Amino acid sequence: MPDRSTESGPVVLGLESSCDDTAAAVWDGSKIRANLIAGQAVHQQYGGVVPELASRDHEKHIVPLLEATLAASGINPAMLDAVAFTRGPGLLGSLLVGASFAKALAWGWGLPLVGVHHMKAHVLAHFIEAPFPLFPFLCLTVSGGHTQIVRVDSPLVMTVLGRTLDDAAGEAFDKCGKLLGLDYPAGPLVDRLASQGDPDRFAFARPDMPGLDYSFSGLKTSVLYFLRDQTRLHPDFVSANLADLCAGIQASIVSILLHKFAIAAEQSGLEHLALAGGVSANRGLRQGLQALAAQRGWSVYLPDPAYCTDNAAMIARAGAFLFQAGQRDTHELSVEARLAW
Amino acid sequence: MTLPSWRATVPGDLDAIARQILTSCAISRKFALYGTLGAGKTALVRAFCRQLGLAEAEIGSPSFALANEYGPDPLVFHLDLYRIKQPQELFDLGLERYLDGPEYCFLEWPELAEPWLDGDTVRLKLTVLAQGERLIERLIPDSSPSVSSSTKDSNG
Repeated sequence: MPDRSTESGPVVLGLESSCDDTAAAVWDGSKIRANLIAGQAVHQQYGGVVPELASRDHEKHIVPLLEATLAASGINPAMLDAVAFTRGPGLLGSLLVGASFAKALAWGWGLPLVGVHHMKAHVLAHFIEAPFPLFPFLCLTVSGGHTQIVRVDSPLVMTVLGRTLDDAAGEAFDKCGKLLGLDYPAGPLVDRLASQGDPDRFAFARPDMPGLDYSFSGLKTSVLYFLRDQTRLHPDFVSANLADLCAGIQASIVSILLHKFAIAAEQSGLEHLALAGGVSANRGLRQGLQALAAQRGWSVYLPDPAYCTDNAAMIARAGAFLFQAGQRDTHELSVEARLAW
Repeated sequence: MTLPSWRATVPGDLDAIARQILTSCAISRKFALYGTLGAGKTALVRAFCRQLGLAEAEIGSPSFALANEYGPDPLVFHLDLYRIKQPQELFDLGLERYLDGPEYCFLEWPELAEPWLDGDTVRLKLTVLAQGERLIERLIPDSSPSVSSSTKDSNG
């Protein structure tokens, strides 16, 4: 197969199945051609054959999803340079579906296989659409399952400087929202209500951990006790103060996140700061980081929300970087629920 | 039948309680933890893991990830079914892999998984008594469905 990677970068199919969603995307060497997440819409639009023996969710989705993604991308298998898939971290059973399918495709099409680290791919999602961060930079990856400060020296060299020791930031949003009676996942609604509330009316615990690590479970407990005491005195306390409560909770989470991120920037001397992961769509966090950066003269990079939540575009993009760097995985490569950095 | 209960002033007492539970339930490897948001389920799992000799740093909350793995010596599964809505999702998740093996498995929000839990599963209910104080009770298997529905109704 001719190597087109010298011209505009490799053409890579990316498959992501680390947790809830099955997703597929095509990177054509310079941009994303298709980026789909399995769901009813994909099935309705493209039909596709659901394997008869498929029982678990990812297995049901992956064949029609691939057909839909290739059709939407206008790329046929002969044009691909590699198949990339999420190797971990994630749920073992879910990872296995994506990995086995990627291996079968790579074998059937005679293509190289590239295993991708899900959390590194979140960081590399910044290189899907300009403006691209300048190396080295710091990335705060915040999602329902992760909270990490990562130093990024190149697409291949990353170091975790800090991480949560208990709940993730997105989980703190969702669970505090749940304590307020909001439906799970409550994060986006907390964000919306917070914009109408006073962030200074209610103060909640902002636990400080040693170094650059985070902790959010103390905040959750502090909200729990506060609401319990208040609703004992005023049964309709939550409904009467919902916007202010959301604003107070959001201010606490954003403050905890940015406090350590700023320390990391000061300690490392890095001035390019990026957000990644699903919680980077939170307006309070975006505005807070932009305000802080304006004060300190830092540059901020905020990716398109479509590339923040779990998606396969970031797997295809990361796979292209790794392919260019010479990574070729064998079919013995195993998935790992806890994949080391 | 009277089963033991423990009163903990968190977090200091959790390690001693976790040690007692592990000792008194030495043949059990599967633990189901019931309790509302903020009752201290994850904190108790951390205490169990510390008692099993695992490094504190790797123990987190699996609410989003559904299942965390720690180890390898011993290999410990830490599951959280908080986000699960339908029993079918337990099958999608591959719950049997975590429950059928010889590994330790700590299961938070286990209500939907009741049919999957066998009689050897140690069921623990955590209740908030006052700020910083928790009651940890061991439940007999037959009493767990009523417990599960009451916690789930008010908090799940």
